Amino acid sequence: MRRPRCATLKFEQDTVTGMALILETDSEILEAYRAGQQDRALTAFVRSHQRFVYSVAFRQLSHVEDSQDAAQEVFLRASQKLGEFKGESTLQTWLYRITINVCLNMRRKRRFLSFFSIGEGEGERDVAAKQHATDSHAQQSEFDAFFNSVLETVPPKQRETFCMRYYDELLYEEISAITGTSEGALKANYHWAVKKIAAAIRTSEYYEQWRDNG
Amino acid sequence: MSNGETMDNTHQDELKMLLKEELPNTEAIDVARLLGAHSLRNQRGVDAATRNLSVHVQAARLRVSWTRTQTVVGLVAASCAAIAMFVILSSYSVEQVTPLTPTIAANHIRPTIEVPPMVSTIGKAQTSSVRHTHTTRSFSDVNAIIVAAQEDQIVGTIANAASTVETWTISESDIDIILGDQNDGL
Repeated sequence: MRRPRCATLKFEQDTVTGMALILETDSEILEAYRAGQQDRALTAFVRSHQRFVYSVAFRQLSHVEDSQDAAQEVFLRASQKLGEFKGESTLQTWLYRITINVCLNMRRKRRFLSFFSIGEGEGERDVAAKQHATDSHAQQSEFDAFFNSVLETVPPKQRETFCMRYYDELLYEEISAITGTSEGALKANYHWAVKKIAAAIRTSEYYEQWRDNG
Repeated sequence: MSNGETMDNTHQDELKMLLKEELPNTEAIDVARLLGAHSLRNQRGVDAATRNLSVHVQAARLRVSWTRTQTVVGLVAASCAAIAMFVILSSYSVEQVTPLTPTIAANHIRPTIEVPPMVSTIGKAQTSSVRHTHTTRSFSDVNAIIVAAQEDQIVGTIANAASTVETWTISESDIDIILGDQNDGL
């Protein structure tokens, strides 16, 4: 999770405002935002949550540029309402919901445009998106493409749990707060996802080649 | 989310433990290593994609703010213009057009008065035409005109009569003739 990049600086405070110099936690960000340091607070807010938001968006949209646009839209919406955030949930949970809504809207818009044949068709776009995603994440290897195809075969809930746990490295407690699923169910989902992924990897040609190559 | 380089070991340990339940030990370790490398690459990709996100968000925020300001200013300007137009137009006093009222009361309208033919035919044409145009004259005027016309007529008659009178000069011979004839006739 978001650990302080520099633990020694985290507790240093501005002598004038009495606020933390480096905004790390949600409460510090909110405090700075409400104190009028909006630009600073928003920058810290985006930096501390951008990976999570982008990852969620990318899993929903499978397109790098669309995911970037979605992440930008999410933070834009969040920044407009950040002052009204009551803290009933964590910022991450709040952002997750906004991201899902934004991605749903974008998918709807994409479908609408493809219906009227404005721009690329849905099918063409998906193919292009996957190709683009592969190209953009330049360091992706063949295994990454193979692993993504394996992930596609996993049921959505198990896949989302696996991704949040494995890629986003969230605690079960946090995933539970975000998805509203009990921690026990999440653990079971994760277990089943890992089991299916392991079986798929083990039976794949790619794994045999990889083992043969040492 | 942690950095790729500082991946939380608990996640890796948990994954290894789960894989060991499904796969032989060595295979589980291999698969875990593969997945670990994949996760690192994935995180690097995410880092690359979100590199300038905070800058873009700030720029988008300013753009939205500016657009909103422009919209508000535009609406205010349009409202002010509309109000100004209303005030200017209402300040011009448009003359109220009152309904047309008859300039002469109905009871003051008098019937057309027939000018006697004598008046119209006798005397000067100019006088006659002038008389005909003054149809709104009062009775007293008309009476006066009639009286004047009658006077003119009388004067005219006298003048005509006077013009027809010839002066006769009777000579003695004429008298003789007249008388002689009379005498002869006697």
